Amino acid sequence: MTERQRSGLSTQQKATLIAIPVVTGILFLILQAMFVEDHGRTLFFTTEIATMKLFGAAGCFIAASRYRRREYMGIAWYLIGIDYFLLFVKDMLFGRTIHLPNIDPELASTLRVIFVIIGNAGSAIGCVMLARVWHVAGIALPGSRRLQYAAMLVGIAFAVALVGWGTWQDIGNLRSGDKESYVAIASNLGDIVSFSAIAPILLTAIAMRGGALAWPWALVTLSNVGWLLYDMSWSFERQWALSEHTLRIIAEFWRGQGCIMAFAAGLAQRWAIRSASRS
Amino acid sequence: MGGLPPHEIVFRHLARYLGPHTAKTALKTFSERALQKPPEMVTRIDAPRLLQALKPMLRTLIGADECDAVLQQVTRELSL
Repeated sequence: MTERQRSGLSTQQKATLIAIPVVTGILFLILQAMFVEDHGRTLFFTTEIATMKLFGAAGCFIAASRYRRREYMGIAWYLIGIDYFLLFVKDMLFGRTIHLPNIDPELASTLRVIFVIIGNAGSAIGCVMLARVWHVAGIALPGSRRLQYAAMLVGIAFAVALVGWGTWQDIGNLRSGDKESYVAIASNLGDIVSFSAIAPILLTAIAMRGGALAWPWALVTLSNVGWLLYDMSWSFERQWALSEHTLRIIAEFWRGQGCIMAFAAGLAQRWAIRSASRS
Repeated sequence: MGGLPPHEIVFRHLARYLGPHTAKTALKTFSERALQKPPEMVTRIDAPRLLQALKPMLRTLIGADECDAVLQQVTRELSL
């Protein structure tokens, strides 16, 4: 029995899935060092973030395309993909650095709020759907029921602790009429749900260890962890005592990893299904 | 795989996707639920009912097209 017949993915496919985030991370670190001048650096980050989001969207849509319309997993992948795609469109058409020519700043701000709210709602629902797959499919998660609930509670508590305070401050800013606070609140609430889903998604990946489906689940977990580390970079900026310059590199590195892991996860999902049935 | 017992054939196909641990648990759960017997006691005559019981789980995880392809392959290997 070959490796592919045993686990559904070939060694080459596994190597590719590992190489994607590693190579992307290295490329990011090299390229960011080449843009030292303020305007060029801002443009680099804007382009890099948008490109990574586009990759994230592509990965999710690639995964979703393996399912028929209205199938549970397909819907979950589409919803997460829509989030990445809307965030990409927002950055390209209504962003602060890149935007449509002559667009009214007030209108651009409103559109940013709408895109972020819809995107984050989609992502939150998609993540909850992924987190519940074990229940919907009727498979067992590893560990005792008590341990599973404990892991989920820790995940939720950690998510609230990380993003809760910032959200509270954003709600305060909203009262003073800062429209961009809607973006921050929607983003934070989406993050709380996504980070809370890390534990059940990780447990699902562990349950399927040794099988082809463990790969997409592990990579979705890592994608959410990437976003969590991105948020942590800004949430603890004072405690880190780092310069704005260094902090930006760290934060954008993790945001990029969050997006590219979603791309790799989608690819893994597609390969897991296709390769197993054709081997 | 002609000489393998039915549960072993089903297990091998499930394990490709779910890994050996979850494949074993799922096989046990669905065998007991659909046939009221452990997987080791499943005969070729029982197998279609077991595959039918596994269908919703597989459809959720790998989609209907893939699920149908896998179940057809298992059916072929079981010479049903």
